[in-house]
Amino acid sequence: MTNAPVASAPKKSSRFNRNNLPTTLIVTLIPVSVALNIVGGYIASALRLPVYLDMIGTAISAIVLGPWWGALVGILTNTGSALITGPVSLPFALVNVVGALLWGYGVRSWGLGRTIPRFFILNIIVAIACTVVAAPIIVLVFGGATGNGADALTGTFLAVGQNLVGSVFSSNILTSLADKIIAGFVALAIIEALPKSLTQNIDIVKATPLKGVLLAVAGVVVGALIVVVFLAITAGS
Amino acid sequence: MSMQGALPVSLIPGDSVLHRVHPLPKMIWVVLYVVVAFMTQNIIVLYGMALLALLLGIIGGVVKPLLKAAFIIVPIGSSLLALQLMAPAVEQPWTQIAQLGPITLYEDGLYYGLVLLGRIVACLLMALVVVMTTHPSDLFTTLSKLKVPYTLNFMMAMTLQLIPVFQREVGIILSAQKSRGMKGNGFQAVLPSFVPVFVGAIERVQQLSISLESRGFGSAGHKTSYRQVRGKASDWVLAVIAIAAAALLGTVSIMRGGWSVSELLVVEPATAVAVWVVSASVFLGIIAFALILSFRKS
Repeated sequence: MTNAPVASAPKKSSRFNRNNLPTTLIVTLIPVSVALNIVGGYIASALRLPVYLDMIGTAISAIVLGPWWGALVGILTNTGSALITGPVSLPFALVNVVGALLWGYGVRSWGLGRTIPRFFILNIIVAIACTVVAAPIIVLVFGGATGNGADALTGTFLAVGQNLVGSVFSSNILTSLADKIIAGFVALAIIEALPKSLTQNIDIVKATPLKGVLLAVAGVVVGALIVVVFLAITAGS
Repeated sequence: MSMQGALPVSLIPGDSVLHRVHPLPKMIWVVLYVVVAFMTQNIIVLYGMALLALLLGIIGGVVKPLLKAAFIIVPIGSSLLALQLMAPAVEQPWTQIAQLGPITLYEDGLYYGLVLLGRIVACLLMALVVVMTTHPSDLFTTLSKLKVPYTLNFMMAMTLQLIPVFQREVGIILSAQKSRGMKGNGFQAVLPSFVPVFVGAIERVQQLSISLESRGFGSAGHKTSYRQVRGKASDWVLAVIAIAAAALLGTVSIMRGGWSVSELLVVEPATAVAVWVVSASVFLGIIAFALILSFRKS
């Protein structure tokens, strides 16, 4: 048995596995993140929250393991939920991948996790990028519908004369901002509670109580609402 | 998309003809459904495909859970129709059909809305029928035969097993926190519920990782599987027929530029208004119902 292959000799040369975490740990952390993404949506609806919170696992894996592992979590999330809600949700994997790459590179390479304001801005960037990717998919595959309350807003924007892509973008950015900022800060709280062996190499700020974050989220969303309403009215007239 | 209640879909045990078909032909059907559905704009083809999937569901004896699971498209479907009537996702010019206060409804939107809805319904029904009549282990054995990397396969299979485990965990943690006086809903409940679930799960994973390690996960060499999946000749005939049908439908759709039959769908303005009012009210009704639920004391 002396020369049996060792499963998880840390591959230091691999560009993905820079954490020196055993491969088996990564291989098990990824399904957990994927399942948590899917269950996160379930918790959000159990708590009756108006946001999805289905990218927390993506954010955690992107920050803790690396952006490309996060992207894999994103792809597997949508493949997994394709088995539950049908293959039409597959294109949204792209949204998850974009979110993972931004969270991962943002915290690990660009130092956007060092202070609370920086991390807040990172989450806003993620939200905007996700909407930019999601809006065309929503229009092409679902004709503008998402099946949640924001569709009423899309309809209102259409009624005042905004075009379809603009309306979907406008209503999606509002939900996306609230969703991604809250998801980012929940991820931050979870990362802080993780075993130190997983998080020692990451340069990330300590978690902050969610109350202040929620106030800031409300501020950002109201600000965005004013902008998109203004844009819709200008587009309509 | 948010989920209400438990995740509905998994294998419905049974011994129907469909349960005994090899997973590979079934996977081919799903892929072909998606490809054809996105190539064609012919509602007869799309709803025909949906009916065929429903028929397969009846053959497989899963029609009841199938329709129950397919119910998730009601909110998105009604919203889709209402939005498409107001702004068709096709190139202008659009034909105006009715005016409802500030809202203009377009004839093109009704047809294209039905196309989009047909796509979603057809693909969803087919995928659900296949998931409900295929044992997950058979699916993953087949995938590994197709040279899908075994690590990837393992991760996918493990995810599907973890979801119900975590759901149970969430229920337990939410009740435990509530018994300690936590508010049962709203944003204050986010951290006390998410953090224990996630951290508990990730810590448990370390044990799992050691267990995998001790079983030689990741070692090189040929992997064998306890489950053996064998296909009958008739399974492959079904796959070939499906490929031929899909190729035919796909080619005709491309040659006819989407094969739209919108001229067949002649609607009166009153019908368009009725469709819009019904779909918008169904959608808003569902949203209002969800809102009322969220304000009700839990």
